[in-house]
Amino acid sequence: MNQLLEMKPYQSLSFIAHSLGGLVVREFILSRHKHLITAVPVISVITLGTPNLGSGLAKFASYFCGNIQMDDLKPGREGFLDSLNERWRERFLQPESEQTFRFSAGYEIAPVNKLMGRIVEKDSAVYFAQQTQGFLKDHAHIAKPYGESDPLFLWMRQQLLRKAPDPRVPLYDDAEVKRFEEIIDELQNELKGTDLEEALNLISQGKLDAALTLLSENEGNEDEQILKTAKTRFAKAQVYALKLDYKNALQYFEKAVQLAPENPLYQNEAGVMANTLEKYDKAIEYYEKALASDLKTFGPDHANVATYWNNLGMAWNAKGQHDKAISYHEKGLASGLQTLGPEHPKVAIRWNNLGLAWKDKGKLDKAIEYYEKALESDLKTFGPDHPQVAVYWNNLGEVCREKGQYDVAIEYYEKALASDLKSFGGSHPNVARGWNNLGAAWDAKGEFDKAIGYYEKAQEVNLKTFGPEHPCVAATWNNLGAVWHAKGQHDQAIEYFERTLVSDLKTFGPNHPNVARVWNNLGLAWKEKGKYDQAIENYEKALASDLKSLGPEHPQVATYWNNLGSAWKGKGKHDKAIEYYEKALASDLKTFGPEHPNVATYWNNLGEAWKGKGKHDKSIEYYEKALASDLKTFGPKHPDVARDWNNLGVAWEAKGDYDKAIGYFEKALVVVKKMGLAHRVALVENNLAEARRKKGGG
Amino acid sequence: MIAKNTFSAIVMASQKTKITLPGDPPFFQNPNAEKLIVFIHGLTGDATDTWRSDGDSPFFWPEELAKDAGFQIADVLSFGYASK
Repeated sequence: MNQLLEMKPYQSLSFIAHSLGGLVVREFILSRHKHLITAVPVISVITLGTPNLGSGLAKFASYFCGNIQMDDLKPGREGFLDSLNERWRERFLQPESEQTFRFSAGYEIAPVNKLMGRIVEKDSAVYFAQQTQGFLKDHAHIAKPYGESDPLFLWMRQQLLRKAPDPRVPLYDDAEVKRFEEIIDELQNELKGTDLEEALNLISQGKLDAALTLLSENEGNEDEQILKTAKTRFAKAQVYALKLDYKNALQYFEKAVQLAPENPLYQNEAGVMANTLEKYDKAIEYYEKALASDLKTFGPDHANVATYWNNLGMAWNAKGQHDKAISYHEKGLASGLQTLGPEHPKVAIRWNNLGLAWKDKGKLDKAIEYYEKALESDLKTFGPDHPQVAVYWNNLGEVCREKGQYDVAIEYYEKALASDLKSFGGSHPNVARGWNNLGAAWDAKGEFDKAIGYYEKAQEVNLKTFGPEHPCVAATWNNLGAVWHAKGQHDQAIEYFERTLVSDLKTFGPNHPNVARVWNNLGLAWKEKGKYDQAIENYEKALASDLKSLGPEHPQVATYWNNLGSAWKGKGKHDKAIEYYEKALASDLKTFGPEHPNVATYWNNLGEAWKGKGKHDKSIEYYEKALASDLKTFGPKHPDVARDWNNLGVAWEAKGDYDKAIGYFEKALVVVKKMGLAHRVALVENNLAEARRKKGGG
Repeated sequence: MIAKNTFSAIVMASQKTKITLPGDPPFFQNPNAEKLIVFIHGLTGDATDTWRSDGDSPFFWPEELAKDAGFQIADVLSFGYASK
């Protein structure tokens, strides 16, 4: 190295290291770099499949079996790796230490073979790194891009040049990586030992297009070799799934199912893909077929059967049919408990999914109960610094936020964030989610400036990891819009919502719930500005979009009917408002029954509309229904309950019964004060003062 | 009016040469290189095979990186050491 540095006046050094070479580089930086003849700074370190953690080294050693260097690496008091990591932490991970180079890590997603699996796991490969990226390659090929268009080459280029993320480098979330594992496993089962085995080699090099070409050439004639053709189509579908091309994947799964209608594996995969594409009816159809087939073969206590029950639960829940979802999840859970035992991570996922269905049904306490079981189980299995544990903390945060327990929610979100920061470092989508959700909780508490701070942190990470046009970036623009809306700065809000709309329209097209949501939010902002026609225009777009994508009985559609009602009420057309509110109410009563926050809100709004028509008795009747429902759902300490009491106060005041009105305002005031909802306190105090003044005057 | 001195810039032809270092690791240079990028292989690897793709038209990216338009001020060395 010194020889080279003597030869040319280099200004900077960058390292690209494969496998154990990454440890060589880290050791060099710690103890050799200072001995260089010129003080050339290291500006980038990129490691590919480097094992940084002691756990998993045994596997690494057996892959390179017989190599004597491995003994030094084994974890233990004197082990090289322990000492290296300790010195690294001391040098770079102390609060006052400064790391002047960018540390990026690529990790392998593909196994070397069925027996060995992956040689270096992601956790170990990305430890210490600031930027991380997974590649569909095995341990050897993660050092070998196949050409200039290989995502690996593009990513390395981007890291070395410190450019913005290249959209041709696919970003995989943890769920996708997990799914890839299953896909490759299934492909190995299907193709190993057949004349299509070469496709597996191509996949382990990341050459997906070449694998597709090979499969297409061997697709055969469906009249002669039906099963082989089905198998090839199934393999093609899986390769499309690895390419994240889900439309083609579904198409080929369906072709495989057509040729081999008795194969539950094909049916289940077709269902999973349909579900991913949000085609829930189709998904349910395939799952039911797979279920019927494996029930017949194996009976109810079989892992496959439990999986189909779980999948059916997810699909029905997405369709808004929560009772059906719950009954399937309960079956899947019971089976998992019996076959896997209570502490299996798979069982934890089923607790979680059951919790999710209860949450979506509006039964938040039940959701918490199940989420806590999932958390408890995985905390035991993995300890606190595991991404899955962070997911459960995050979910508990979500449901507590919905319950109005904002401080508890913030506590959970902070735990999730701390865990994810440890697992992933600062630039990771999960970390962005953590900041975002903290923003949402502070937003709900009415601390809007704090919320904006968190959302902006989230956006910084999002932009770094995804680039400017990504649904997550759009979602955070949307949330920023919502806070500015809540702050009463509607022009600013509209600007953020418009930004969200442009991005989401590009990503999803007009008939997608996310796009509908933005139109709805634009409607809200315009309504607050008093521009009711613009509001109605946007609400109608939202409604038309969701009617197409979700159907007329979905709770989201009910929300948009409700909002249209509010806009018409703003225009003073109370009859039209009532018409829309009643549509929303009827739909959600059918979906949820009377004890649900949405239903209570629609009753409240009907109360408002009748108040507008001067029919105070009718309006009180609706407010009381809303109150009874909200008290049952939330107990007395919730913003919605405060709203109901406040509105009852307003109605009784209008009827001239000031004592009753004062009583209700006082109740509402206690709640908003206790919850620290600063933005509501002023409003209720004002109402109370006015009622007292009127009482005194009359 | 004060006459100014003019400096004529020397334009060097861009040319890549492979020089031989002790142990003969692949080294790809660009004129006026300011940055040095070093590839370090792992166990059982070497300075060439670790970084070269399989197949009929292998892609050896230390070399390709040095050719890349974004890296015209960089030299690329694939370092070799005894690891087997």
